[in-house]
Amino acid sequence: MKFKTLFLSLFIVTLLSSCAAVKSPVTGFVYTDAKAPFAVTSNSGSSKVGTATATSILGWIGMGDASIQAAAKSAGITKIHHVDEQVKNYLGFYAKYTVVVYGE
Amino acid sequence: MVNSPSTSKIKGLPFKSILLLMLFMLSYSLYAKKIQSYYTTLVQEDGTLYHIYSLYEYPAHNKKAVLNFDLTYKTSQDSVTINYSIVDKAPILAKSISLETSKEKIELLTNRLFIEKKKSRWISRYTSIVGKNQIVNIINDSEPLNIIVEQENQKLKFEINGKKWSKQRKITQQIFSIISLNE
Repeated sequence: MKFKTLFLSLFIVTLLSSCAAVKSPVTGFVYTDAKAPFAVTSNSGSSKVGTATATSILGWIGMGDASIQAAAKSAGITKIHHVDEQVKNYLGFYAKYTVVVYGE
Repeated sequence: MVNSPSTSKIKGLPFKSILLLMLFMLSYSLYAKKIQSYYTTLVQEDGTLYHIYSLYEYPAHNKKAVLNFDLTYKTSQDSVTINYSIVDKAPILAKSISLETSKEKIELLTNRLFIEKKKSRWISRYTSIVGKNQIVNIINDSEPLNIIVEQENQKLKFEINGKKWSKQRKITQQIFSIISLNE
């Protein structure tokens, strides 16, 4: 019975709280893996790709640098072509937000 | 025995079904994780750009440092860019990087992207260029990849266990197969 009470409490807390949430183009309570556009520039051509990530655990701990600057820096990009974002979420316990920068 | 009102409410809910359904949906989602989630592409006039995300951290041998890397390939070129980060308690001034398996040993010159400090750890990020065929030979080798980073006065060896290498190898092989089919 203790396990049932604990599980139910966790389930309700998870439902009522925002959980481990990151902005996403679609909602998936159990599992999310989605990509979406973020920004486009007039620069042409891409030969480099850089990523930067921020994570959230249970909606209680959120950390990371998912800035465009960090992503561009990770691949030595100085001219940005466009930027996408990618979201992963597992049951609201763990969420990952990734910025993907394409450029030269 | 009379149950308290709160216990009766709990008893009435199909929590076992909810638990099982959630676990099933999560395990199915994870099991059926599509190959597209491991890489990204960009179609351009002069070829398609493929970027394979970093998958595992390679721990250093006898040291508390880790290395992770990602790969970028453009179909109009015959080389692959390998960008890698080393996280350690001290900055790493790398001169070269070697990729070693039982059949292949490739030594590459390396260029620094940046070195920065985050909390108590240093992140040293570098870039190198390797031939596409050389990378294909490495991922076709079942023996785990060893990565050796050479500094001025020491070598750092990073290695991954067989199980992780097997998974990384399988994923990378699939991606390069997709690349070949679309070239």
